[in-house]
Amino acid sequence: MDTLYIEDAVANHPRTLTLRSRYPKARIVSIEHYGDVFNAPAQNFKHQKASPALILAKKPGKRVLPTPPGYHIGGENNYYFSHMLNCVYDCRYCFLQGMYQSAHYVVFINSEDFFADMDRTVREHNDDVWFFSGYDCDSLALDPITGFVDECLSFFDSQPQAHLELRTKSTQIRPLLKRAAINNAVVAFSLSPEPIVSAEEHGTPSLSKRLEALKKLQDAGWKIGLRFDPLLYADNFNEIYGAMFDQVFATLNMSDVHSVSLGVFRLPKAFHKKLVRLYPDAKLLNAPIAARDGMMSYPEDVEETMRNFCMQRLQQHIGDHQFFPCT
Amino acid sequence: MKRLCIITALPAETRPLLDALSLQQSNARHLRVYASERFLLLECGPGKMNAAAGTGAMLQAYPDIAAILNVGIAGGCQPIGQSVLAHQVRDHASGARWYPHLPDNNTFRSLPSQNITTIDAPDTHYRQGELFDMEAAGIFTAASRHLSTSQIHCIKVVSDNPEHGIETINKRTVIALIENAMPDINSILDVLHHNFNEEHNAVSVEGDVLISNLLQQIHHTVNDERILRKLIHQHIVKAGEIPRLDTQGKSSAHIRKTLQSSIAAHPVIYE
Ligand code: SF4
Repeated sequence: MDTLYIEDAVANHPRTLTLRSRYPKARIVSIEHYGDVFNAPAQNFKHQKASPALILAKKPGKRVLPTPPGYHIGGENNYYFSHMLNCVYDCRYCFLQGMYQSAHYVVFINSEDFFADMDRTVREHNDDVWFFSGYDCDSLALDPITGFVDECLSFFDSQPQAHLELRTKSTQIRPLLKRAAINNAVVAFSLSPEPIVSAEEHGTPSLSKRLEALKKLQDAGWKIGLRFDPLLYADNFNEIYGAMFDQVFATLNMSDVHSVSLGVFRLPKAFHKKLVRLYPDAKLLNAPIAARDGMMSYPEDVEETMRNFCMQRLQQHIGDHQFFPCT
Repeated sequence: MKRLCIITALPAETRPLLDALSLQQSNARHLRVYASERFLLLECGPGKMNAAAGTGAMLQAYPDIAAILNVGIAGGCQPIGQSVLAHQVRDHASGARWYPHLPDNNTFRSLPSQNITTIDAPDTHYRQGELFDMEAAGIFTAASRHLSTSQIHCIKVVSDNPEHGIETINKRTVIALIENAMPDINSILDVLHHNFNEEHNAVSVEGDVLISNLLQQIHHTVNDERILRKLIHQHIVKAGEIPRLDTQGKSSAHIRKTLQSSIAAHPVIYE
């Protein structure tokens, strides 16, 4: 990391000092508010992606928010939080590139405030509450730098009524393996066929590496989740997705998987436009994509064929209680 | 090839650059512009207003400028002659700020960077961590309407500090300061040149040639041009080749349909 932008409000926070010490040669730029850099106009996402800076900031306001309808894995009370913004990976279909002007990573230093907000949220409910991480970032990919996951697991270990989903494509599972598995956390991996990983999910671990990580977690007693999301159109869809399912079923104990979900590629119109501008040669743009209900998506019959194929394969290995069609 | 544009304020800042980069005076109305195959240089005159007006006019006159580098002198606490990059540019009067995106690159990394505050009149209250100049904010105001903050940079050479006050600056010292900073300026220009000309890859060049030939042969609107450009690019990506088009007596709508069916006929295969 070449440049650290540091909000004045967190300049002396112990986590900031630890992070700074990891990058003794970085340029340090003091800023008043992370939005001054992160939301500034006239930024070039692609250039920043090639050499992103780290922005250390304090997350004010609401840190824990209700998930959109349908975003759940069986729980009634569902919330998400983002302890950081943006991702080290570079998936062509990623909605973050449409949502943010900047490719810099924002790390919110005030984890203690996140935990306090989660604690408050749990106390507002009489039954279980789910918290989803990895909505605006990859939950694990930058963890060697932030160290957030370990603190987060300690919090959830002390809160049996609270449940955590960590969503990731990263194989940085050391913070999980070094401690005993807890019953109220699910580590959910997004999976795609290997040819799609190479063509569209730049910088991410291969399918085999992700499955290897999942297997280690499963063997260590962690609850794991599988997220086949987004399903991407291909004329050889059955061939590549079939091969992926074969590999998944051969590696994991499917009856023990906590949850499986499917989601077909969809992007808001404006985000799709930005994707076309940023990466006009992305292969996924060659699929039949059209506007439908304000979103860019495949024709309904195409979506259904894709979804049916996957469901048929999955149903041979998992029960209904494990399946969540569209989260 | 897209050109880089250097912007200076004073003739004494310009002179060493003309020699070092072999620049020739160019005919540009109301602007003092020098040019070579790789570079343009605008001498905008002193002050924020001149800088903003000159930069805006320059970008109108030369819309395909790849990136801008503001070169000049500034006051601060660093030793005289030190080259400093801007990691933040602030307009003292309005409080507006810009954050140039400094690439992760050895050349950029080898130079110190600071906040550069643009002031409207010379100031001698030197502060640690900050340089004063009189143009950078004007350049950023105008340039950031056309270019991204990855494409607008600022390198200043320290001309005065608490030990050597503003009264020690004259034409001769400014020329000497910029001359001595030429290795730093050159290496920054090399990086910018490399970064901003790389994107023009072979596919888009071939596509560009095809589209300009095509447009000469058919009646078309601005919208037709935009759509045809997109379809040709999509065809190249999907089919891996330039589309072969029979344009003789064909309308742009017909060519559009031909391209669309040719694109649809090529399968999307991940392998
Ligand atoms: S891993 Fe997820 S968050 Fe990261 S780039 Fe890919 S889609 Fe986006």
